[in-house]
Amino acid sequence: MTDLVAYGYMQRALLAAVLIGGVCAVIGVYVVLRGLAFIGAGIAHASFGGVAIGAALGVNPVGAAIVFCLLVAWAIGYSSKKSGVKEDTAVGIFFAVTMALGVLIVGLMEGYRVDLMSYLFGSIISVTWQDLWMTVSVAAVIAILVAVFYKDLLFIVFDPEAAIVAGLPVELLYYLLLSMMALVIVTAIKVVGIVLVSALVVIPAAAALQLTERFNRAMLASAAIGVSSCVVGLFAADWLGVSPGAAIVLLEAAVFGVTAAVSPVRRRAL
Amino acid sequence: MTSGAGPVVQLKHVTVCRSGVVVLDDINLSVNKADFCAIIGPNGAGKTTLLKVILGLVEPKSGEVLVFGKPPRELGAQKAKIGYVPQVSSIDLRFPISVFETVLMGTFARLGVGARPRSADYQAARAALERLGIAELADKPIGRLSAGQRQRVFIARALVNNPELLLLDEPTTGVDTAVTAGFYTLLRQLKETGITVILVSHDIGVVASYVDSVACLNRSLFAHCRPDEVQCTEALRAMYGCDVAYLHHGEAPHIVVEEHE
Ligand SMILES: Nc1ncnc2c1ncn2[C@@H]1O[C@H](COP(=O)(O)OP(=O)(O)OP(=O)(O)O)[C@@H](O)[C@H]1O
Ligand SMILES: [Mg+2]
Repeated sequence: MTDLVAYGYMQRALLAAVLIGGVCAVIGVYVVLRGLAFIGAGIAHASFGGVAIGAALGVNPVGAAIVFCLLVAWAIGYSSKKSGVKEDTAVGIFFAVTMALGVLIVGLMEGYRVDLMSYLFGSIISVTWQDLWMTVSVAAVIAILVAVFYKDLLFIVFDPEAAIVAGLPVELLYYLLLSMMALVIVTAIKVVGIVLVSALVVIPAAAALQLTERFNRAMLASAAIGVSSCVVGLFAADWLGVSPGAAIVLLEAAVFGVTAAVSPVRRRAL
Repeated sequence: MTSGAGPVVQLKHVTVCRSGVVVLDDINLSVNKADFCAIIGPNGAGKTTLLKVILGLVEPKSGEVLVFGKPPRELGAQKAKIGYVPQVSSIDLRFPISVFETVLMGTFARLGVGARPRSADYQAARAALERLGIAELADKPIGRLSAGQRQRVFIARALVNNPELLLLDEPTTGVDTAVTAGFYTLLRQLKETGITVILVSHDIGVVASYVDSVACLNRSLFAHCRPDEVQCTEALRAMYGCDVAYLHHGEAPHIVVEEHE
């Protein structure tokens, strides 16, 4: 193991895994409790369109994906709030449309297929210094936002009507949450890819919520599960010679299985 | 305390449509400071809608709503002076939050976005729990309570900021008789200290001995008068669409609704 860490690429991969595993899991607690998991999956798939647009325009694909996913996240939020379309229906539409857009653009370009595969399934081993920089910045922004708006996000997730009555800018905070999801998800695509990324958001939080009935503890537990799964999964993948993204997701799923089996929350509820 | 003179809540020719149907029709209502007002009316009468109009959750189609002399949406920080107990709370009962934390959330209204609760807020939350007699439930998860206990938590949350205006939508549903009596007494005491209370209730017989006025609502306002005057009006009959007798048993007057043929 110590040998592995000696390699530059492994150091970068490890740092990226820790940061991404952590922020995804922290945001995940709000996402799971507010029932936004499907929006997360929608945003992730929309990033395919964003990456393709970036590639076609010759700009940084991840940057393009961030902008694109923010727009899609707001559009999903807006259309479900204003047009009375249910959230999951809005996601179902945006999900497919943005994927189709990506497929269309990729079809029109030549020679990009291989590169796009790394976005679909992740390639944490090929994390560059530039990727790492972006990951560090996003993690810092998310950490600050959660620290500042911790209680307000909790309030709008728990009881939106009471939050409106209390005079909180509930809609703004909701868009803030969607924006944080978009940022985190696009950043995390480097680790596990578009197809698996919503697992990093949903599973650690779901597992943590099996363990505790306190929001703050759930957030800590979720972060711990997210970070440790990413680190262990990364090493395990390297050792077994399998895909790191898949190893991380399967590991998280195993952790969830165990927490659900032993769940003190469920036991107390019986 | 209250900004300006005049009524705490004033509705002028308020008409509300929901899904294209008129559910409140030309309502004129004014509730003064330290009034204790009960709103009664049959199911679907628009009682909840009326409270939501006062809270700014529902925008009227026409008419003017003034709370502390301002439209509800322009209240800003003054929103913390309103306590609200919803009829049904849409919260997820599996949410990982304790009774204490739920009540503490009431203080977020005056804290503002981004600020952390301080020791005064924690004390206020503890005091509100004491007031409702649920201090021993403080650490229980919100999902592990009986319906009546949970209702008391929401009442405590509405009281935590020492509001100047309390809006309660059938708050005693599921709360036992002893606690209900204690609760109305508490509301009466709050009223004596200058708090304005608007209470939606089906339990007119019980509330009549506590409140100052009764508003009879069924799409439009049929009467707004002293509780002992309700019997003299045709309001109840008109409102319920059937014969209603208003009886006094000892201290508490009762309404008896006769069966339709
Ligand atoms: N969200 C909504 N969308 C459309 N119509 C609504 C909505 N909420 C209420 N209504 C309609 O408005 C009318 C008044 O409803 P409201 O909830 O104010 O009645 P209520 O007097 O509180 O009744 P209850 O005693 O059953 O609580 C009803 O006819 C109802 O169908
Ligand atoms: Mg109602």
